[in-house]
Amino acid sequence: SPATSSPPESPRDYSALRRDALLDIFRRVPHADILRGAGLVRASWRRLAVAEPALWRHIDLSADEDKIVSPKYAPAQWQAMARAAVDRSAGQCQSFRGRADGDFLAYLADRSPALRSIHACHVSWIYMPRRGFIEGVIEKLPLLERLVMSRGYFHASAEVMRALLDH
Amino acid sequence: MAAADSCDGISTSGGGWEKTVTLVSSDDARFEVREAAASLSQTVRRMIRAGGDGGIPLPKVDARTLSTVLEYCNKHAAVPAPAPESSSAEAAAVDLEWFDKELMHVDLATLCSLIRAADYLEVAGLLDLTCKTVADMIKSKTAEEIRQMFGIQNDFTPEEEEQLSRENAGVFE
Repeated sequence: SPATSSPPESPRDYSALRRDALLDIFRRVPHADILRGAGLVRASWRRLAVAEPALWRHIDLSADEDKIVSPKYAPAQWQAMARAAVDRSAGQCQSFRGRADGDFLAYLADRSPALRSIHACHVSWIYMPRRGFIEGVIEKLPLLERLVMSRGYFHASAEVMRALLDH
Repeated sequence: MAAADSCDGISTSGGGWEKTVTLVSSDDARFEVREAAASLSQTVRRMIRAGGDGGIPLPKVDARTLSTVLEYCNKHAAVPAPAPESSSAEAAAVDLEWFDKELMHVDLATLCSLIRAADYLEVAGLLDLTCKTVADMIKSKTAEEIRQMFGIQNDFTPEEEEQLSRENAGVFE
């Protein structure tokens, strides 16, 4: 048969991977690691990490909890990461799992009309007026089926409980 | 190797008569494989259905990579007569797991070739295994660590770099 064998590829050039294969890899890397590491390696990886909402449909930043609880980890850091993840989901986010506070929940609710599940870990403080939680979060999420608050403190007034039960 | 030129050769692997196919790598090496094993590749399966003489050409996979892919396929394809020592399904699963682990003990260049081959040949299980292996290597690493590990050039323009560091202020330690 004719000598059509491809020229020797640079075997260490990972960019030769098809976009789909790289996407397959990214699907298996924790979101926090994509945000801080893999998504910043080179321009093509960055494009994939930023402009592929399917990667961010089920946001899970809970694997990063060890770092989050360390006192070095300023609130600005986890908030920036969580917001970046929501931005990248481009309105397609269906579930969120990770640290949250009132401000972030409102940010998430504003941008995630398809959200079905929230699992907020390490809710050290929900600083949000009652009406803010009802109008700013619960009422914006018609599809929400599951709301879990774990390892933290959440003050729910009777009004908030009623709103949740009505939902 | 005139006999191997046929796509429907017969061999006696596993003690029984089994249909085999011949696969031809980019560097013209020929591999005679059980059809059941070769069919783990959806690409090859389609080519078997399409028929043809002279073996199935796989111009995007070299011999070294193809032999590893086939090692995987031979192991994972349903074996007609299971060996006595792996009679229980549980033992077989453990055995497969060990086999997969061993198969992934390769350098990065080989791993990358395997991903490309699994992608082109559409061997779903191998693509999953190789992608998971690379994902595990990428986890918990900084961008610079990943670049060094994979020999990747940082190709961001200075403007992009500046934008990135602005965006990521607060995200990094």
